[in-house]
Amino acid sequence: MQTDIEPKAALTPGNSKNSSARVEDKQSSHILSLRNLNRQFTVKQGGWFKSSQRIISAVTDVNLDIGTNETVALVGESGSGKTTLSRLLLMLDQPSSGEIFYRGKDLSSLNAQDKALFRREVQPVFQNPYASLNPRMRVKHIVTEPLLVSAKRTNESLTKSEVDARLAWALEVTGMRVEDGEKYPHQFSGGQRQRIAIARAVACRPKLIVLDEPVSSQDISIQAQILNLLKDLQDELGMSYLFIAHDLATVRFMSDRLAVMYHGRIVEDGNSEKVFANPQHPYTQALFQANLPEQPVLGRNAENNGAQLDPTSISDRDKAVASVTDTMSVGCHYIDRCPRRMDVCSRSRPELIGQTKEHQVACFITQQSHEEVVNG
Amino acid sequence: MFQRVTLIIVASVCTGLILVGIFAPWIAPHDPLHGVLLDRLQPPMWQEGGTSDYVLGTDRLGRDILSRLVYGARISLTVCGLAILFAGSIGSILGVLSGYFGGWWDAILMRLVDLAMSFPVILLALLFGVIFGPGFSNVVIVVSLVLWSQYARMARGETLKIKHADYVDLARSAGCSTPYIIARHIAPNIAGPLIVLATLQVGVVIVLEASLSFLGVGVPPPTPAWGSMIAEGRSYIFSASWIAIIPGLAILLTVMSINILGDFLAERLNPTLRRDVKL
Amino acid sequence: MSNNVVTDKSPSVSSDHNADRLAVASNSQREKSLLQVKGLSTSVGGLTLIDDIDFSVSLNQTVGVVGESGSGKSTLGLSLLQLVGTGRGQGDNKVRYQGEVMFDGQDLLKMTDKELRQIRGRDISMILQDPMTSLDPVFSIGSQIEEAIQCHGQVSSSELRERVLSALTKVKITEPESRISAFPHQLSGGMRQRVVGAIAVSCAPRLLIADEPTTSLDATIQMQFLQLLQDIQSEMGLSIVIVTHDFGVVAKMCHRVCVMYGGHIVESADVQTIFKNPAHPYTKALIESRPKLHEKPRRLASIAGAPPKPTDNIQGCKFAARCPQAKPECTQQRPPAMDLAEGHQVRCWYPLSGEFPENPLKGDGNAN
Repeated sequence: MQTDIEPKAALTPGNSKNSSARVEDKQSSHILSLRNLNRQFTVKQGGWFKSSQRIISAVTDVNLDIGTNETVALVGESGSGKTTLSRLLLMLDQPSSGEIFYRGKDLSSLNAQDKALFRREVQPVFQNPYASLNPRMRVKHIVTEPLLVSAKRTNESLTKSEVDARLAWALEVTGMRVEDGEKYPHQFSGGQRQRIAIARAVACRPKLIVLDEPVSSQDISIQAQILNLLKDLQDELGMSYLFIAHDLATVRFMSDRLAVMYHGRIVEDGNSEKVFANPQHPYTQALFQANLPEQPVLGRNAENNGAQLDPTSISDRDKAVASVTDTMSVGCHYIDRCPRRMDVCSRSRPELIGQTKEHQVACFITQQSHEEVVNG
Repeated sequence: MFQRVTLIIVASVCTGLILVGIFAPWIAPHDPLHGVLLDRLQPPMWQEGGTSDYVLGTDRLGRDILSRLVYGARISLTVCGLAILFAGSIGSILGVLSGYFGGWWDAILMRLVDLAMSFPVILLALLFGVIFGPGFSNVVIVVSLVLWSQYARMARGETLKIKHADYVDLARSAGCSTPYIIARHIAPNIAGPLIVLATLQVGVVIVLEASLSFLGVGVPPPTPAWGSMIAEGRSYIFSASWIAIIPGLAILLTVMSINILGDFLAERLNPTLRRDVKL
Repeated sequence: MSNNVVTDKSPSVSSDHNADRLAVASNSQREKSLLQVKGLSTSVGGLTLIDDIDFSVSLNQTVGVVGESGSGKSTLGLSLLQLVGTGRGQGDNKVRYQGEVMFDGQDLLKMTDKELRQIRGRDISMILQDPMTSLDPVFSIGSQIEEAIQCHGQVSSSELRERVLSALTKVKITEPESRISAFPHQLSGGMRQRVVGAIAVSCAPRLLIADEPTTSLDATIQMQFLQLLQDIQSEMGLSIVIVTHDFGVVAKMCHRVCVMYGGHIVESADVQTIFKNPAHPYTKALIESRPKLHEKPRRLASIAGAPPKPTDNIQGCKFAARCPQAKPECTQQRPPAMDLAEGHQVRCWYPLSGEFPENPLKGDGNAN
């Protein structure tokens, strides 16, 4: 692990050779791998005198790899399981089955010291900086908390001046001032608070940051600042991001890989250039169609730009919501909303496969067409 | 403006009361325990027959009511302080643990809380009075037993509210230990409402102590306590009404001031109430 | 491009720019305007939240009010019906409205409470951001729509049911008969927002104010709901004021756009002009800072700093502190709303498209 506490006054351009090294690194090593990950919740449904239990599957059979210095975006609607997934890999929650490998080691088999190391090297940044900063703590304590805790756990001695230097460095690279360390969170605007949250993560010199919708609660003029900051930090410090989002345009800007989640499953996964050029799964396509236009729509009523709406799609959506809990169904989970469903979709479930690892889809339609290509 | 004036009045009443309690021996003009039987049932000085020697008059044994009131403040405030300290700390700790860990421990504690809340206060007090005999510590124990459940319930509720706050999750994912999380992240953030509850309960305790003393299971005579002073004045309510009315007014003034102060505190400590304009 | 516009119709700025604005307003009266707001200011407890707002909404038109948090956009929407801070309007926090809100020839600000209540819900209705809190969880959706209808006159029970059904049909809720008795928690977020929409259109309003109507919805549901609003608009012929922070929503929905910053409308124009030829540096920067679906730049254009709070006391232009081309004068004097072209107003001393020949800050401003 990296133990240099050496503070840098600011991001030095000398580090930028990292970014050229990034490309080769990507295929060679995975910093984090999820294998057949499942997380189920038991929900009690109560009548007055008797209650029944239902099992809800929030994450189902998820396989995902995050490469070194890579940004993997996880896209999906609310309730698709992306937040549950992020909690699993932050060890805030235990998987029902499946494994998470961090640099080749299974998380469930880590000893206390390795666990502390993992917690230092994998840092979260949450959506809402109004909720993620303890209002009763000074910024300097917020930023250095994970650093101090992990140092204690790994029996590493940190002198006060080392901690102060790291604090000053973290605040500086995230565009805050060192004096800000003495203040309390409520003295800052939303954008500044998110910078503090990022400073906290960066202070540990992490290998991976889990960014759960880091800009969606920010003002529009602040979003670009934060996104740029995240990109710069990645280029300069060399780390991987898991970027959880729902806005495709933002994802396009940030991501190297893109994984689309629907009802706890990954339905499409691939190099983001490829997915953006050619979204394959009907759900991914629906997401793209639902993206709001970038330019004003001319003659709006004549030319129907955007999602085609047939009146039935609304009740379909409700059916889809109802089937979230239906873990017993054997077919494709997207069948209720899918405009291109086939007979086979209700009988068996498509696996996430593709011709290359670069682009995989869990849909029979694309798989059929692949087979046709292969066969003739 | 009006609010500020109220606050100043209320705050000075409370500080005044504490000072009176502390400096009782220097303030009281007479010995509160020894009466001059010749001067018994003297009315307050503003009534006919009253003298400036006994500003608030005397009781049936000729003891100076002002002095008894001053010493009574001492007793009442000590009971308040101790009972709230015990009930508050025990209740809050149990509540936080119960809210944070949940499970069977939580279930047991909450049933205990229900029990404490449903048990008639007076019956409990009489029971303890019979077992231990009336006394100062008896009052503190009974009042604590009655009050702890409210702290437990509130601490539990507040803990439940923030135990999944993002900053607590962040601390967990950083590997912080549970005692550290409770001390550093939970406790400071639930302290506000609990402090407010404590202030509001000062009034409750004074009234409770008064009722216990009135019933004869509180602070035993001749020690002056406001409640027992009212109890003693009961039989003279028509002939010498001041004996009961004056301590009654003292209780009224104190409880009202402290309650108003508690409300102000609630507003100050709660950032959502403090914000004047919501955008 | 816009230079010819400037020479065509020489823009005017002066101390009596109000008069000019009135002239422009009467010019555009050809398009019959349903709502005309002039010099509207709203203050709460002495704090001015929106200041000197001018805009108008024509029949069948959708006007977008775009801004960041604290820009006053929601206050603007609520001020039209005088609903700012209702319930806590006593003491120091008294809400004051100034100016004129002309709706169909009547000034809403001069109306009594009773008259205003008649307008609310019947002629002008609102959709708020969060469908979870806009609906009362203990009443069925049918009775909540009935309530909205009954507020504006007695109706027989059979007609009532019919109108509830037609409201639900208008928002494309399938099988409305079976949905009438459903409770809000039994519906998905998108459905709930449709019910809110049904309540809003149940009295056939002429103006709909939608405050961030899709912010809490998922992307696919958001698109459906916006589409639905457009369908309702063309079906019922109503005007819409849509308050949003999202230029995507504006691009999808609006004919005209008002960009708000620090309690002012800093630019207003038709949607094409706003996107293609923005005159205010803020508008331009906001549009450029949006990530694009089909481009992957190395960096995004971004605006430094944070938006001002209503409590900040700013003397000059509110955007000057963040403006890339701010000149020292900009912090001294606040720019008034000036007409760049017909239907294009901007509050900037140095607008990006075209310059004012009579810019008073340039020293020759006393010419008029």
